[in-house]
Amino acid sequence: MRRILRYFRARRFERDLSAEMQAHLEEKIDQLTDEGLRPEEARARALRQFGNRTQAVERSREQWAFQCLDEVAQDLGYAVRSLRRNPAFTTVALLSLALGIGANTIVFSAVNQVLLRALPYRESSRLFLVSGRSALHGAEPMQASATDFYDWREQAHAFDNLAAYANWPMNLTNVDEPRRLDTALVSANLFATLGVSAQIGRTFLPDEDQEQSPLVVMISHRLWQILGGTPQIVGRKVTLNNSDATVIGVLPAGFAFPSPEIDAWVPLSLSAANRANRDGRWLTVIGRLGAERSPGDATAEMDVISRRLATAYPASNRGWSAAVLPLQDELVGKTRPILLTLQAGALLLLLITCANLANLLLAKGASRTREIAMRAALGASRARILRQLVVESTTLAIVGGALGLGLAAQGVTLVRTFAEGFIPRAGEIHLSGPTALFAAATTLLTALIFGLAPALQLSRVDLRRQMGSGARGTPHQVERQRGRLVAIEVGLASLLLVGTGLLGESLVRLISTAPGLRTDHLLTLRLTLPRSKYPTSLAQGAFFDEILDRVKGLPGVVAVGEISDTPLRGNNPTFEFAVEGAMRAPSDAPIQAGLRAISTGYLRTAGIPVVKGRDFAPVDHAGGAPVAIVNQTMARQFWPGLDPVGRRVRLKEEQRWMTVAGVVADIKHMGLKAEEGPVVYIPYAQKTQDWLAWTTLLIRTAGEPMAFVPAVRSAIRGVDKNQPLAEIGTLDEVLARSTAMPRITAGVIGVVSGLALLIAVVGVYGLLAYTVAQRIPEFGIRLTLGASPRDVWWLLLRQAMRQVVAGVAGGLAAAWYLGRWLESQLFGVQPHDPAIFGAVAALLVAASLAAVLAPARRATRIDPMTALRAD
Amino acid sequence: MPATPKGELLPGTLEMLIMVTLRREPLHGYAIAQRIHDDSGELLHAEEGSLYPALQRLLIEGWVSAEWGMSARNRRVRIYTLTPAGRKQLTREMKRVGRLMDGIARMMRPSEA
Repeated sequence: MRRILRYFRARRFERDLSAEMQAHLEEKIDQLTDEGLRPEEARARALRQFGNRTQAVERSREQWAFQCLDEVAQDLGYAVRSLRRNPAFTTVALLSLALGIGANTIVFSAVNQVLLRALPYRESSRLFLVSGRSALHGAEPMQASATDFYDWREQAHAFDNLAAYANWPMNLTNVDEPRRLDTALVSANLFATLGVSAQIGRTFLPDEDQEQSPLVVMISHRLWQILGGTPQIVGRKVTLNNSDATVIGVLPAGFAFPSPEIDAWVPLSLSAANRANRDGRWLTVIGRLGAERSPGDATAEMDVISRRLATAYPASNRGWSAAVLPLQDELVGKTRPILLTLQAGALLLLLITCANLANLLLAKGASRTREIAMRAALGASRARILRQLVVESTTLAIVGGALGLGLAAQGVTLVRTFAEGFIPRAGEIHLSGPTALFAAATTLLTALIFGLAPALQLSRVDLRRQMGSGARGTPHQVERQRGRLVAIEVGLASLLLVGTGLLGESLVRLISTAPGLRTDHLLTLRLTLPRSKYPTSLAQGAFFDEILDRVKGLPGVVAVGEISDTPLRGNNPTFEFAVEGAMRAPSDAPIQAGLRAISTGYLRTAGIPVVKGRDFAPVDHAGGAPVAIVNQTMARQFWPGLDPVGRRVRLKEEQRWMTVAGVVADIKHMGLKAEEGPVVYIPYAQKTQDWLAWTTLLIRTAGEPMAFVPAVRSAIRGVDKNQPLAEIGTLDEVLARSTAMPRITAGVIGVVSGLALLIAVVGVYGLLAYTVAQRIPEFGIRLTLGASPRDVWWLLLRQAMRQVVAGVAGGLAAAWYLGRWLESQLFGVQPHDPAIFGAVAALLVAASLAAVLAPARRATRIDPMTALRAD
Repeated sequence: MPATPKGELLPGTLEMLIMVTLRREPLHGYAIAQRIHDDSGELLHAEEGSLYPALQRLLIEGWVSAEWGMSARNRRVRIYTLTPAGRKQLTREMKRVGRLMDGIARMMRPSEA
């Protein structure tokens, strides 16, 4: 902008100039005339003295043109030439910049979309999760019972809307291929609460979540495409869990609430019994805050309501409160530390790159000091030289940044595909405006960081000393600054290496954690029965038994079992239990334990050892005496030092006691990181929960599990041809999935710190090699005067180690301080693990020693005479 | 390089001389040239061919400003004024030149070397 203004100002000045020169000439003629010359004579003399007028105008104009355009173009051309002359330097610089900026841009695109960008709902900052909280579960957000939800909705005024939902897979039949749909049961006002409307058709009417109203369904854009993608979808009849349902609307593409895999939304129509059940906490509640209300208001109000409910219904609500949490934080919560760790790693890599480039520029500049001094002598101002150097580094950064952006464009697609399923909102990740802006800002900042310091240093070169001495030597301060930069590189590398050490050690411990069951050769798949077709536990049990029988008969199947929730997947519904004879004070928290229904043969199939008592057997059929198996944690917590076998437990909501038949070992049901807590297993045949209409089939096979899928599929179709199969895979895959995020984090940080180590070591090497080259005459003299090669060794080693030790000390101190940042991602390792800190220090020192070797050898092999003659 | 038989100017010196001239009062181009000529005891001569480029440089740097006005002979001329920034620059410049002169003077007395 200023440039353009200047251009117009220049035009005006030029016009003024010729008028001015004319005036000058005339003044002169007047004066000469006054002095006695004849007018013609005066004019001729004045013109002669004035000289070439065109040239004067030209040179005046030059002042402007030079200033506004040419000078920058000149600098740019000079920069390009200078970079071309050093192809090795330029390639290294551009590659490392592209890598650093590209990595940062990729991670930032994820951070921006997942953490920073508002959820794609109307005024999404007013959306909150209202979660149950109990003393028993600490800060862990819990779900709410249907009764709580309706009570909250009635009594809470801070919210404009409160809506509830639960994931509830359903089977879609009477289509070409029956399929299991990831479905959400939602209160009718969910879409109004989010502020989302249908792309085609409509959303739910307020009374469509009443029990009597006919079943309607909204479908995802994706499912709509599968079903034909025509507008005629609205009003179409489909069969959902064996009931007729009418499609009333299609949601816009990309709508992903509560999660991206949901394909159908069905109103939450509850029976009177379900509505009255205060113990089953299975609904997630969200609310839209009223216009004038703050989260604090809502929290205060929910506290009052919770206390009121606890007084009115102590059996179910004592110890329960409700927390009001920003919805966005809750949706992406667990991803935050992971993404931030990756971003920190990428930034550190970029910083190391900057230090390295500054170092290289200084080295390159050092060999240019004479050239710079020459330019200064020829009249270039310090500002001019400074600008020249800055233009050079900025050119580098901009080209590197452009390459990085190209890299990021490729990388982001890869990351999106890869992260889908691990990271919430991953589908939204793309190179957006803010991301491009981030890349641009990073580029400029990078240029500033790595370019300015060397430029300042070099432009300060002492003119007289450089020109005076014929020396090829580098000014001392340049070398000192290079030393500092190497120390910084070493420091950043050690910081990153500590991070890698901690994450890597965690990962090793995580992976070597025994899952508690044998995951090899296990095929798993999930069946969800429509309750309209299999309404009772008895009917469901008969179906499950039939399937077990058929699959067991398949050739190559070693064993088969069923469980209500797939192990290692993280789903662990807990219930309140009563334990007979447990020594408990009335103030003790209620007994919560996981409840899992299993078939006879499940424990054997999964390889979970029975440590006491017996496994379930055919005698534990529907009519048999009610039995249960507990895990070791349950046994230890409620019957410490006693034999649990023969003692009795019951679900708090039932009167029926179950006798403990056996005790099994704990498994890592929730994934390797967490303990599963107390668990009660019950036989499928004896389950009383008719809503529990699903099962995971575990099939131990003689060969590759996935090869059995067709046979298993046809066996199941043989029982019910409309029964879809879901989540088909092996248990090894489930296990691998549960460690995917830590593997990604450790892998990325590992690669980053490997690069950092390389850069730092090369930095140390470069510094020493340079010193040796500079000081060859000096070493020559030392050796002539009787210094031993060992002395020269020591000299160089001391010089290198000064930087390395300073860097390692600084890096480890930073790591010590920043370690708690990583704590949430560590497993079985303390953030201040001395072994890891020690190993990192040793590694860096050893690597630096290796870097010193070659230059030191060169120094000791100098032939004194040649060295002395060199100058 | 602007050179006359009478005296050769080092680069940057002309600008400084112009500013020195303008320190006392605003002047137009011709008057500046005259003043330099007269005040240097006719030793220095600011050739017109370099005077105007130098004035442009000073304008760009913001060390002088220019306004149209009337000369003593009632001619429309541009009158140059030293700006506060120019005044500061001049002080710096004079110090620098002072040191330079000092250095040169010392060098010129071989007995002390």
